[in-house]
Amino acid sequence: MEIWEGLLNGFSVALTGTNLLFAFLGALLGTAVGVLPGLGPAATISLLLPVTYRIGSPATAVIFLAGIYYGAMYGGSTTSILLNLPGEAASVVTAIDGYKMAQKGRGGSALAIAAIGSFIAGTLGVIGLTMAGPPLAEFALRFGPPEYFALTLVGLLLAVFLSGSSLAKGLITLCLGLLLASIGLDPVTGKVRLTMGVTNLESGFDFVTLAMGVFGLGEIFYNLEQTEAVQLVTKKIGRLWPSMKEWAEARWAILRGSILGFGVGLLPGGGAVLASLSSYALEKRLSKHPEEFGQGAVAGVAGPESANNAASSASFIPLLTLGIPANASIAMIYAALLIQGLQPGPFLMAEHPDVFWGVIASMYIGNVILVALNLPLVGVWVQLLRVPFSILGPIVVLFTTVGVYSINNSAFDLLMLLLFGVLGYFLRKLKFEPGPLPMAFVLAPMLENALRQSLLMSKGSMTIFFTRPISATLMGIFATIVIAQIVGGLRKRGAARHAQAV
Amino acid sequence: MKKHERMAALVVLIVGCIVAYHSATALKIGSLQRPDSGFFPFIASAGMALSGGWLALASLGQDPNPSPFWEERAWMRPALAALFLLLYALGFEPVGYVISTFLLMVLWQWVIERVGWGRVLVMSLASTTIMWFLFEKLLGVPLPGGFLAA
Repeated sequence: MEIWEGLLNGFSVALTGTNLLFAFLGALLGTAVGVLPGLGPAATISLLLPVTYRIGSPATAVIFLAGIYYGAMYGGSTTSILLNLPGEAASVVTAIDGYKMAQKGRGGSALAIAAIGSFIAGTLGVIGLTMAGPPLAEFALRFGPPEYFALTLVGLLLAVFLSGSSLAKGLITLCLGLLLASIGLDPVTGKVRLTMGVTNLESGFDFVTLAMGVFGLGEIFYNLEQTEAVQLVTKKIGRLWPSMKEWAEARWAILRGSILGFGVGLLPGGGAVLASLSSYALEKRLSKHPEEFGQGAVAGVAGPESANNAASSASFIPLLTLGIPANASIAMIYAALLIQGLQPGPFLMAEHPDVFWGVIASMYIGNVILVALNLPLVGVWVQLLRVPFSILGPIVVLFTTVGVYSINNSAFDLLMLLLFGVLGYFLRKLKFEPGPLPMAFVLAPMLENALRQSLLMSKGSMTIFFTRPISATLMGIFATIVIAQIVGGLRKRGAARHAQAV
Repeated sequence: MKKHERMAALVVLIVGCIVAYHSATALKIGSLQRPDSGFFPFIASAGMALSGGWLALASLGQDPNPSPFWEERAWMRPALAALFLLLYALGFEPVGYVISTFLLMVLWQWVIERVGWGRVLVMSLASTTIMWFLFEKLLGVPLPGGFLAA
């Protein structure tokens, strides 16, 4: 009953004129970001964080940023299918079969299947969020410092383990994020730490400056190196509705993708990319005609597109209930809540029900807006690719610099932005996964406080993390995943050696 | 890639060791019973140093597909962009938003993007004005007037 009351309250928040407008703007901007290659959802959300300082209501700010995040998941499929150009990472696998379908004159069907799948999965994901959110938030009220330490640590390490890139590189970006967050005043003793005598650093780095530098400016620097111009290909899209046969092939893939994506989206580091990749692998394995995958299989579009949308909805669960961001984009939304003076976590639902339920309700509305935006306007989105990077790049740079200056009215922040931009550029050049960096940065204060408090509670004994049931379970889950990863890696290596020997 | 990874790993290893040493000596780690200010930075920097060492070891040996870090002069455009932004950051307050932003846009498009003068001027004027309107007027951010305001 409480859930329905909360949801009704949420709809009363989400359906106000301002919030509807910002949900629409977020979905529109997100779709554009998804369409355009080179600027991902994390970068765009980071670019718009300074704007949220000026948005009076926290619910409106988060509704806007959430719209960008799930809008990007929708938009990414359009260019993947029509142009073989994934606008963001989660749509890479959609391009494999979607583009083949478009080449065979079934682009319209592929777009419709992707949009319908995204809508169904997105809505199922939000229903899951509605149902699972409140009990999880209630459960999290039992957490003390050791549980929070275990949860944060396990979340961060899982983000590294599941990111798919090198483990050592992931750990480096994770530790770098923790270290950067330590700069400034020690919250317990008040001692100045690691500022190298720079007075401006005593209050620490601003998250927005770090995020805009590493994701916004870093991506611009990296894109400046790429000289390939995007070629606009105009193909016959075909009819914008799937046939009965295509629908029959798609429906179970949509359902499976939704469930799988929801599960993967809950995991820190899981997110939309891992969800779409896992769904593609699952569909291929379950298919009676696996040879059709890569040649225009309907399930190869329906499954991954559903999975990445379900995952993007599910990743709000750990944010809103536990205060743990599941990926870099969600870390930006976490920061937006902090900017608005709210602490994401189990108290959010009780203390700020308008934000908690307003955001959830806006996601139902956002899913409808996205279907309306994506299918009829498909031609417009493809035309957006005509905007050259020589125009887009300088505008993003200007928005980034003025945005960062606006936070503290300090030119010092512009220098820090440049520093983080250069860092982001080299992270990309050297193939370091930058995702764990903002996650570690935003979670570091919670991690440090929880660790110090736990050690004070246990009089210095580390066993406190393994003797309390919840923290011990979390550590156990983490150990199981690590062991499974190691065993999987060893098996793969063994299989490769065996293949070489043969 | 291995060579570049190795160099990056060594930089991480050295930075990690320096910060860990500083955390232990200047900030003090304290004890497990009573952690001090250097406790958390020490753990983070030690973790960074260890991961850097691990990456350095993993990238030992010959590179099967050696490739240069930058193709030909690919570094030029990012380096110029960083230089222009450095000048912009230094001149933003003394010179003021309007002139510094207009110059940044002109330099960026003319030198980095190599677009024609007509488009350079139109884009620079338009973007400077729109951004001023958005931040100064709509969002109420006081942008520096520089010597024009004096």
